Amino acid sequence: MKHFTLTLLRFSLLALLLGTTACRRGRKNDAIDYTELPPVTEFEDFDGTALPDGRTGIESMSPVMSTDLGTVYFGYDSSTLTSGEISKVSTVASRLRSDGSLAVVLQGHSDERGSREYNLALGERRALAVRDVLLSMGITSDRIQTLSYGEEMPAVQGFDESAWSLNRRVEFQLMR
Amino acid sequence: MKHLLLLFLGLSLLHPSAFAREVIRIVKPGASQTGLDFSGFTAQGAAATTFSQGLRKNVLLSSLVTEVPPSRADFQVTGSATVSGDNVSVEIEVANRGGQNRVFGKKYRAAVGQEAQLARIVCDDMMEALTGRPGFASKRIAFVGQRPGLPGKALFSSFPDGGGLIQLTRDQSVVVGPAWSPDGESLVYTSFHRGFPDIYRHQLRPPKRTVLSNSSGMNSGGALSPDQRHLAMILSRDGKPELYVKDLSTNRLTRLTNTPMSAKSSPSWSPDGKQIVFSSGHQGSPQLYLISRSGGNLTRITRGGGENVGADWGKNGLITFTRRRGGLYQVAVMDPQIREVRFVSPPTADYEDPSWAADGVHIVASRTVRGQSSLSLLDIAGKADKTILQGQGNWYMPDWTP
Repeated sequence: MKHFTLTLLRFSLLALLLGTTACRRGRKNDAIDYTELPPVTEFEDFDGTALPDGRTGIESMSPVMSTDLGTVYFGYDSSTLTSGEISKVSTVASRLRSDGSLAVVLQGHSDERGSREYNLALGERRALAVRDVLLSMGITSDRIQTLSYGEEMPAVQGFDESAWSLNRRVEFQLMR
Repeated sequence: MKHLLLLFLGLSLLHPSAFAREVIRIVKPGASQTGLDFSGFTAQGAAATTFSQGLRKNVLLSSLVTEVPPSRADFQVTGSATVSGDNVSVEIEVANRGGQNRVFGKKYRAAVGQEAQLARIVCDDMMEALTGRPGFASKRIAFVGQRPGLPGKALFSSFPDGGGLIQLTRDQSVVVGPAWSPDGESLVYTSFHRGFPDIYRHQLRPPKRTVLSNSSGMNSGGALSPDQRHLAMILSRDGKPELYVKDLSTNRLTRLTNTPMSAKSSPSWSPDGKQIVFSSGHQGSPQLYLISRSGGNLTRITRGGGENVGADWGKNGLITFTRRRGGLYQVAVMDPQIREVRFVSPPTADYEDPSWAADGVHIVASRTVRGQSSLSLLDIAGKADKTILQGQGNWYMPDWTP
């Protein structure tokens, strides 16, 4: 069922992407028309979409203060976004669409349990999952960078689930 | 010394498995630890006493030997350390009780100030003569450290006796996964000091750092092949974390895996350089997989355990790794041919990121209790748990010079 939903979503996204690409050609840097997507409950099992070749100058951009962006949270050893979390990604997508000079760094994190190196990949997998949602919402690949810190930068110190659940996350850092 | 090695290894010749050969009877309670008597070794002068204490400490790090009174000694260490002028001179012999069979005898001289290092070198020579295996006392361990007052994390290195602690990086950022080059001349690791996780090669003498991989996304788990010409690593550049090998002379990059979206980590080369072991979560919880260096024959080698991570493939042919068991992370050892898993750490703390010692018997790992990490020396028989470095910070992700 999940895969079926995903396939449907993919088709609608493809249409959307074609639409927005056409739009962009005509009105460079303008806000892109956007149709609200049907709600999805889960979003995973996607194929990889290659990252931009190199860091596309994001290293020389400056962080933009933004207090209104939420943090996306995940379950244990999971990179699945629930519908509530996807709405947070939508907010970021809107910001990126309304200001063409912005880019975003998706900072992926894990809780402290387990291998630090595996957790680095787990944080990256979470950032890539959020990236895939942004791509599906029409944000182009060159405006998104993923940055996993693994378990190295916990939001909350602690040794129980209440701390761990707040550390399994992706934070948004807008750049200009 | 061959007969002593046989004493350690017991049934080795009857058994086909490398795993059994290493494990069986190495430390059977009361049976096969070799008793050493140090009472016949004398020291005169401060530097000589430091040498003598350092030698004893380093020798007794090995769980193959134990200190016993002369009456119960298998072997007796005799000789002297003396200070004359600016030098420490050492004469040392090791022979069986009664003295008919001398297994080791050598003279050394070093400048005063070098006595701690001399003790490590003499220990290694002596242990190699006794066991037929390379010693590990003079082999540095690299690890990540986090100290009060130190911004971020840094790479450190020390000897297994805890001495010679040096700080290798001062990047004020996150650093992960140090791995020695096979020649022990440089370290490969992931650093965030330019903002993103990139892989660097850090030559120690003279200090020099070069970027090995800075693709978009994550660059982690860098491990040099035994011939040092290829780098195995985990990259997310194609949209998923996958295992890659880079030819360092041509910069040609080959992707070895293409699995469903999943985390991957910790590639480690087989001793012959023909295979790589790594962790992947593409079938659920992280498991260990083997793959040929050119990308074929992906084979899962772990079944049980919630998580199987952090593999290190030793020159002895055995893989040590971390497995989650009963809510704790434990160090395990397996022969990749037989795939039987044995735990070698006590179930009293989290033990992670194991790395083989040069002798193929001992293992260094991090030991963590409530967020406090120290370095611990384990062995293949699961009988040892000796503290190498503890306190004044957190120490973890150790890697032992090959």
